[in-house]
Amino acid sequence: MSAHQNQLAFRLDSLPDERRVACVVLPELASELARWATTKPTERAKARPLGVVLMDGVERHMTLAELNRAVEPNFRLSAVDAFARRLGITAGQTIVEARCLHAGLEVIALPRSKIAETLGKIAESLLDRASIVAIEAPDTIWLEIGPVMRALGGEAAVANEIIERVRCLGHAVRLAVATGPRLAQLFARWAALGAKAGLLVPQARSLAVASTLPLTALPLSRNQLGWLGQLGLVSLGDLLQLPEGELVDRLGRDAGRFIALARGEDNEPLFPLQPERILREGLEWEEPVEGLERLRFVLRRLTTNLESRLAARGEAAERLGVTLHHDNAIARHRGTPNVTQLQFELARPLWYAEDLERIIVTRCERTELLAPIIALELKVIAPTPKVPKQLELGRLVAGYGSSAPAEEGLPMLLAELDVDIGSERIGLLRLGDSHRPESKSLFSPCRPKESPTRPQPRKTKPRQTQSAMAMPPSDYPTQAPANSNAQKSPPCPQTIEGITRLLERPIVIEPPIRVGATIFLDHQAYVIERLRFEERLAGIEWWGKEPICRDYWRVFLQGPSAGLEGLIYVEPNGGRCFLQALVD
Amino acid sequence: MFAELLAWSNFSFLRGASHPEEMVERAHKLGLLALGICEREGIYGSVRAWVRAKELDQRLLVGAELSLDLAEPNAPGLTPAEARRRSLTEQQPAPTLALYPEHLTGYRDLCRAITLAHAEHDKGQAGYRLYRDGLPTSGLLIIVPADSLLALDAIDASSVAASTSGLRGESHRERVLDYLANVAAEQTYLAIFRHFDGLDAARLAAVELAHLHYGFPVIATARPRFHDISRRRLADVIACIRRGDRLDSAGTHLHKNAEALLLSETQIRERFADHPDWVDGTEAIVERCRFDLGQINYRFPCTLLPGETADEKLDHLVWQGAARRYSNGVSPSVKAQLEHELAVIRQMGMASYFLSTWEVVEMARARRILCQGRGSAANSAVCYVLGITAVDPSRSRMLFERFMSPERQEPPDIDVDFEHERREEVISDIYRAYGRERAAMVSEVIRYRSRSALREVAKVFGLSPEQIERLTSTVSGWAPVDHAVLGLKEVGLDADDERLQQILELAKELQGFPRHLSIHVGGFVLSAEPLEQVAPIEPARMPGRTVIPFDKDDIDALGFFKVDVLGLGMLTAIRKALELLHRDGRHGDPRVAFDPLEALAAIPAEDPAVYRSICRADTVGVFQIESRAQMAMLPRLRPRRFYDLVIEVAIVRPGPIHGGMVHPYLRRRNGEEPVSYAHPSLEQILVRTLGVPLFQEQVMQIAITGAGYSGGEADQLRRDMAAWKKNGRLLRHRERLLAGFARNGIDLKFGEALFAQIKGFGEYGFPESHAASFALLVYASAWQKVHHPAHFAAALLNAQPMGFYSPHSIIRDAQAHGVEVHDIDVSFSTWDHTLEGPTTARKLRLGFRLIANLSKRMVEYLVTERTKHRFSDLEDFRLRVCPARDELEILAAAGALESLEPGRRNALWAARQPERGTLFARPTRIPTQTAARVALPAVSRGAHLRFDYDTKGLCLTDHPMLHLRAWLKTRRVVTANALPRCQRGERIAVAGLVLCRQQPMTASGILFVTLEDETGVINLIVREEVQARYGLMLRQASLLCARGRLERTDPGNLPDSVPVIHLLAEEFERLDRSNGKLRSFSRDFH
Repeated sequence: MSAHQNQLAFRLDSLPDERRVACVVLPELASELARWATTKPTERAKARPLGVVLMDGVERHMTLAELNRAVEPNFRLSAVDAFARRLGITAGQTIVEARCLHAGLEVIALPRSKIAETLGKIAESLLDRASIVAIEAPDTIWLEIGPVMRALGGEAAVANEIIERVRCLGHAVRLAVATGPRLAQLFARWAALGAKAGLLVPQARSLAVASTLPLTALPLSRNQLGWLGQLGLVSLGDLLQLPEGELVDRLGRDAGRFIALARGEDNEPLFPLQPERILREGLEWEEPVEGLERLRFVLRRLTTNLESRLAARGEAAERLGVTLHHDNAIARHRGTPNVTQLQFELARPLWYAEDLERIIVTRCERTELLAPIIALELKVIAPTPKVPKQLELGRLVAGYGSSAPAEEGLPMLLAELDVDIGSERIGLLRLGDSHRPESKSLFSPCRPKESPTRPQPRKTKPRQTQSAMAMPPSDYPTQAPANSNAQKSPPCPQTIEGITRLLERPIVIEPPIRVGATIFLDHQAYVIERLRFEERLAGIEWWGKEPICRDYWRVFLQGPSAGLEGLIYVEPNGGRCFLQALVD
Repeated sequence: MFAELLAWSNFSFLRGASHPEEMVERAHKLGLLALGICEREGIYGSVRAWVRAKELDQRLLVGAELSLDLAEPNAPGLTPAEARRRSLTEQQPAPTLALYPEHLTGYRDLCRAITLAHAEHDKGQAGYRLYRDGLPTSGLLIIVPADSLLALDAIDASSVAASTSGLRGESHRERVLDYLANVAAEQTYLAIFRHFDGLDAARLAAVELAHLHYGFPVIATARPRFHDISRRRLADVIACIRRGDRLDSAGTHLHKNAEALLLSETQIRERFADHPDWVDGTEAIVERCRFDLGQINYRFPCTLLPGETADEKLDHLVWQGAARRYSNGVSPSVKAQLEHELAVIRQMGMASYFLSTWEVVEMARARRILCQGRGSAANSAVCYVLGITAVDPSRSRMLFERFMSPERQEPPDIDVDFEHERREEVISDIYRAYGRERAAMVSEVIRYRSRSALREVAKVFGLSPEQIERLTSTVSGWAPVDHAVLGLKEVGLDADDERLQQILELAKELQGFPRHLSIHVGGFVLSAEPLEQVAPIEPARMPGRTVIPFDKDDIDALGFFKVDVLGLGMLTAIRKALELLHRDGRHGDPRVAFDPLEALAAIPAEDPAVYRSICRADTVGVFQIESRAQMAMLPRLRPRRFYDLVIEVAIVRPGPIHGGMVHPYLRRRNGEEPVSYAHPSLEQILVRTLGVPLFQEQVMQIAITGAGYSGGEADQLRRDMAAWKKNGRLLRHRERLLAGFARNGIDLKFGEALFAQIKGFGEYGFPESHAASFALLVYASAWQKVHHPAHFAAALLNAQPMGFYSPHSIIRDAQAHGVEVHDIDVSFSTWDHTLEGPTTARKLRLGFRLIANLSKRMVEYLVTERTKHRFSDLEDFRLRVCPARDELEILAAAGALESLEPGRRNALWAARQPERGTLFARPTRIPTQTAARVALPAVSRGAHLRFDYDTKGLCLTDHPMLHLRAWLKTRRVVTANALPRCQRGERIAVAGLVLCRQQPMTASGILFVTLEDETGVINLIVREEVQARYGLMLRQASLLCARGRLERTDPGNLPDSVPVIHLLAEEFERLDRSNGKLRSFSRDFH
């Protein structure tokens, strides 16, 4: 029987009272997001392999460019695109390792939260196709389609619709429908048909299909897989040939669940996704763009996403906010605000992407862009019901409006400070292990604790062995440095002492730097009273950046009203001098 | 004038980034008054620096910089855990003192101080316990480096140190400086340096304060870590290697700049323009330190009776030994030779050296350990009668001057081989006899080779272990790192990557750097006085061993004597085979206790069957003549008597091959060319080698007889031969030889040809004496193989690792000789391979030692339990032996449980069965799972083969090529046994498992590969251009298919003749990729 015939047969075999769970697996999600983050996909860049580093603890105000600057060579790749995979580059390798395989590897950093956020948004766009929608980072969306599929034209129609919608959002997708979420996930990931059309597996065929999956589909340890291989077992079906009790004795308690899966049994519940009330869509990129033409591409993507989500929620936009984030440096230089905000009070609720795009573009055409744009955010501030629909069960089950529990103390203080001086100015200082003064002190803005606006999925106990149904071996390792030595030993004591204020940018000082010479700072004249040589930094950079060569001097200055102590460095080659720090 | 006094070389192990010779050369170029090499914790690189300084006439001071262990006198030393912690958290330099000897007494004090610093610490964690041991200050100058003062302050600030030292109130800095002021005020100096690293001011303040309080003079130094600025990056890399860190995370542990450089006087004066007196101060130290390594007064020990001299004792032993060796009376020629040798020994004062070596050999003989001297010592009749060597000088033309001569005042070199498994017993006896204070082993400098350099640098640059493996696979052995570039693409690495380029560049610089000191394989230095008076002694990492920090080159340079106690696997194998034969009553009387010395002597001489077998090149496992080249030579040389074996051993060597001596000899031997001599006076010398000089002694004798050289001069000629490529001194002999020959009427053409041959010897030629020593073992092992193949194979396997072939090849060869081989089984096998069945038809039972990752202890326990009563089933075995689960699974996979649980998969299933015990009770017996209850897939032939190769490296019933044979047939691949039917020049394809890769230096870059298929072995010759095309495949593949032209040499219609067949390979195909990863069993020699 051909694969196609198989698929048809499965469709016919589905029974009315079966639990039907569709699993959408997005195998390329991280690299897709990373590609979209590069706004200049030149032909050359397209031809380069791509690796993605997912960063934990990323601050709200951190731009993508800042995030990428924080990437270090020993960070591990969380995901790679198909091109990179063909070159042997895999998730889990460090950037150093990966670049040894292809020097031209492009690495993009994204906040890890972006993955869950995107999954959530995609899931939201599928809300009207299921009674329960759930997600699991890094790549899975589940939809409980059993209760709704009859009304929506049957299982195959729903599956096709889901695939179509996700593809329209620009994602590669694999889909399978089975009697339980883990089974569906296994089928979507490992069964051949899941790759193209969806694979619909009724209860009666679960055993047959599951039996053909390889043992590597299960989260077994290397040792366990090796042992099973020695026994001549290859597929899940082979496991069923062995007495369950004795197998559990040899493989541990999880073997029971594996065997159940091999039998096609899966009763795991789904924990519903609760969408946020306010819909946000945003995109940021590294290189600032000017001109509306490039922005329209971005806008189209965002409005398409909004349309999809609104449609799934059965809502429309009544009030819309658009925020254009400017390049900070240029905005500061031009003396303009960092953001331009536009508000749209719509005469009637809209939900189609073209409508939304048209009104935004119309306004933007009349708006002067004060500085190049590095991010665009759309916000549906007041979603309003479009047409009441019968199939709102999923959303009702998920529930709205669960408020965050009141928290006191530091968060409150931080919140007040946030309002008062801006969150970018609140944070922690940590010591950097570097010879360069500017890298010795690192500022990390405070990250507000994620607000639990929706019930969190039940947390399983963190165990070293397989956690409860933690099926996939994670494709998204953390970006922790490969070498933990840096954590083992604290950095050396600072050799240049007493720096209490590092200037944001070193100030150029006119030479000569000698006792008695006069220098001007902020239009004030200072006389160098004393000089003391501190240290020489030479050739400390190994890669990429320009080699540093600096002689540091401590200067004691006498001004018209008071004295000043500072740190000056002189570049031996060019002879340029800079004031880098002041000692208060 | 300025002298640099605090220089480190790379012998400060991962601290300095220049070779000692480079430091000396640079100092000489900069015109420094003197250079003080002051290695950390020892004087490791000093001898090299001293040798180079002598050549350049550069003044060199030898000193050591010792870390201070500031524990209280009665406090225990650092525990290993503390030491480890200290080394891990070492961020600031430990406090140190640099010590320089003023004279010989000072040097002895220095040696003692270094010995003490190492005595109670783990390897690499030396520390001098100043408060307990004090400092021997009589002849030592002490330099306190400025960073040491800061380090003392840092310790004071550290709570850990306070708790360990128990110090209260007084700081370590005060206490150390007070101590120095009290006991060595006149000898203590403070050293200041400016590295522009932000700590200059602190160092200056500390030094000025100490100077003010204690009045110690201050000297300036550059404290150099490298001789040239170009080494700065390497210095960063080695700092990371030392810390186990990566460049990306090393942060402030990297150098801030390149100022730790050897400076000229002008540069240092510029740096210390404010204190020129500090620069001048170095001169005073140079004035005071008059010690030179050449002043060390070393004497060899010997045990004498009161009133007896070493010469008298040697005389006595020699004549006593002569009477024993020659029971029919000592011939006049031997007597004359002995008298001559004794006179030379007496003249050179070497009697004690011979006596000590004799004592060592006697120690072995007392334990009935097989041993025999090798090398040039076999030229000595004295060595023969003392029992040190086994070659009778009356049966050969030995040249004593090859061994020692009065012209050169150097100690002779006596190397003695012992059974490798029992060498430890001899070493223990030596320590017992001479005591640890008078005996120590020589060190061996382990250097970074291309692969290790690449590995370490790549690790520092952050490559993954898997990538490092790939990177290092691009080079082999001593090949330069540059070769890696060619293979990068092949192993899937991108040569455009900036990091990779830097890795290659830095690994190239690192190659040849010393990595650590190891123990020499057998070199012992024995001393009449306590050794610490001539060299520091350190405990080695191996328990119970002590070493001196000099390697064999250093020992030679210093004129020390060493005795080489070498291990030879073949002696072990021969002894084991003889023991098995004795037990079976096949060789000697089994009722009499086994004596290996007697059993060896009882092997019948000149057995024609042995020579017939050797002529057929049936020599797998036979000592020395088992290599590809030797096996190819045997059918052509066709040895028929013992002396032919001596020639066989010597002729397949770089010397005769490059000297063009092989073919003339073979032609003359086969009657294709008449035997002729250039001059009648040379006939006596060359008669046994048919007029062709093959041995070093012959060249020396020709020089003596034909060109009027003295014995000593002839030996100098030999030495210049050996080193002519290095120093070219050989060329100075050309004119003299030719003129001498002309004077004596020897043909000029012969002279030129001889000189060409001498140059060939420069590569590597054998002394006849050495070849003769080895030929004895060749014969003994060949005799065992011919007459007792099962015993020989068992013994050879039990002596592994040794020799040229893997167990896999040895077992297949034994099977080919009709030996029945039984697989490993827990019911029958022991750790060693054993013999079963009737003594007249023994069968070989494989032992557990063949299985990887199995503990010997468990096997011994298994055998003990089995001896009590046999195992009834697998559960019984498990309950009684209690093997670890991993071990049980390995046994199951290896098929060793077949007698208890048939079927490997059933055994594997049963092996993982959990025990049904309780917390306090032993596991109870439960029924073994049987195949009937658990339906496991049957083991296919392929899986069976895989199980066997993965666990044992061989399969008795199958061969990987059998599985590919059907497919190979479609590609017209020829089997090994079909090769004799192929024609010369025919283009054919062969395939097989790679047994061996060999690239001898004589082969002009040619690689020899040996393949094995199910029918036999196939020899491939791979030329350089083919290697370039298939480099990585040739290095890594375990299954290969080769196409090329057949080359064969037919020996004619002689009896016992076999053709010599090779395939001149032109194309290769890798077969192991499509058949899963097969473990490589190849033994590679490059």
